Amino acid sequence: MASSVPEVRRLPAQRELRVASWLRAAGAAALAAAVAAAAFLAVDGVRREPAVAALAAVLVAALLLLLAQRSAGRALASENRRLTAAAATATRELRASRARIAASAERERRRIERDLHDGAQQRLVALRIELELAEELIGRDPSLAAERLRELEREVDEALEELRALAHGVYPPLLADRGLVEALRASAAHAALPVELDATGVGRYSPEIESAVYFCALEALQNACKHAAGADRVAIALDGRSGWELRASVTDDGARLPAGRLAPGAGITNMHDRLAAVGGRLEIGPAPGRGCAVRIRVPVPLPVRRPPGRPR
Amino acid sequence: MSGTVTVLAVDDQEVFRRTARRLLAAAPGFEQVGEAASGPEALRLAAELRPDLVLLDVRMPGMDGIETARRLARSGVGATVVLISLGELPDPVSLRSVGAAGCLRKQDLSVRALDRAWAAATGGAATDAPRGRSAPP
Ligand SMILES: Nc1ncnc2c1ncn2[C@@H]1O[C@H](COP(=O)(O)OP(=O)(O)O)[C@@H](O)[C@H]1O
Ligand SMILES: [Mg+2]
Repeated sequence: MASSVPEVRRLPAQRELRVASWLRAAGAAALAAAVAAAAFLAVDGVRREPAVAALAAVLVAALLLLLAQRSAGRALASENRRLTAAAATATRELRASRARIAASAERERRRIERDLHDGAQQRLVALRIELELAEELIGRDPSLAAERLRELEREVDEALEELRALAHGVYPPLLADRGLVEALRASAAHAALPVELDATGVGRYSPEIESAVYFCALEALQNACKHAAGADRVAIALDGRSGWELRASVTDDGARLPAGRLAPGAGITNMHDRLAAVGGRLEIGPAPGRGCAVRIRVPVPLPVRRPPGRPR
Repeated sequence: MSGTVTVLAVDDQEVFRRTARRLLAAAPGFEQVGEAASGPEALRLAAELRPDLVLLDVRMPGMDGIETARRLARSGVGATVVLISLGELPDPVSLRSVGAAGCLRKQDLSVRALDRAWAAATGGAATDAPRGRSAPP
């Protein structure tokens, strides 16, 4: 995926700027020569040839300075054009990414609505109807009614579990309560592959940062379980020691990634967008030796709280 | 059995189809003859079973209840269609325009509500001796 920040290349206008500064230096030298000649003349009295020479020197100086001026102007104009184009590209990419974030939030809301409608809401409505049926049954056949009620209790449990799972998908309570490491540890425990989680210097960060890193790491973990051919394990590493940047990596030991870029699907595009929204970056590539490595970096303000037992 | 109203229940949700089974089993004068989980299945079963009443969920993936009602009306199976919905009910005008006889909120479904809906839909009185139509072969 293209990074959203324009690359800083060698400025194409550098050559012209250099020419301008040469010309300016030459002009200054010629001017100095002219001044020296004039000074010499002032001491020596007027003689024709040196006066002509001084005049010529002044003219050359003026010409060189003029050229320098124009060259510098051209260089600046071209530099301006380049920066404008780069800014336009960056703005366009930012807009596209923002639109994708909005669209994916919208999709997410629709999914939640659908899950609620098809799940808990249906169950509760069904329960409402069946409770009334059971009520009528009590008079006619108390033991059947009792059996029905027990069944309905199980229905209530299922509705509760469904709601819990849905709420968890919206925002994992562990993430809010205990932070990234605990939330990832809990999710890793349910992964299809064994996961080794290693965290150092990870504190608490804003909910946006924590959820962006959490969902990206989770997507990377799911990808490893789903796509990494022949993988036996996944390693997740979190590193917040620098204090200004949180790094996370998810590495699997599957088959070596084919050369060239992965064709990003919705999952990877989502990761890019979520990270971009918090100023972070994502790199996906072959891990050393074999497998796939997903590297995440997010700039963080000073941690709210330091993990206990760690000096300073 | 000419007094019994035969019913086809249509809902994409298994939970609700089961509830409909129990409700219809508990409702005197009604007999469930089939159930369908989608619009196309409903159309097929309606043509095959010729029910008097189709209880039709509004919101289903693919062909929704409204579209299914329209096609049922066009197919000429002659069943009375009552739409049921968890959310907002369709307005009476669009109900009539697709040939549905009535609508009910799912959360209001009960033996009595079913009775009343049938009575209202067929223009008869609420009844414990519902007037079934003799199904053409
Ligand atoms: N850990 C991995 N190992 C091998 N291939 C991967 C891995 N992660 C992602 N991929 C490849 O990148 C593609 C895009 O991933 P993603 O955007 O998450 O979409 P999806 O998971 O829905 O296919 C995957 O289809 C897969 O081919
Ligand atoms: Mg994926």
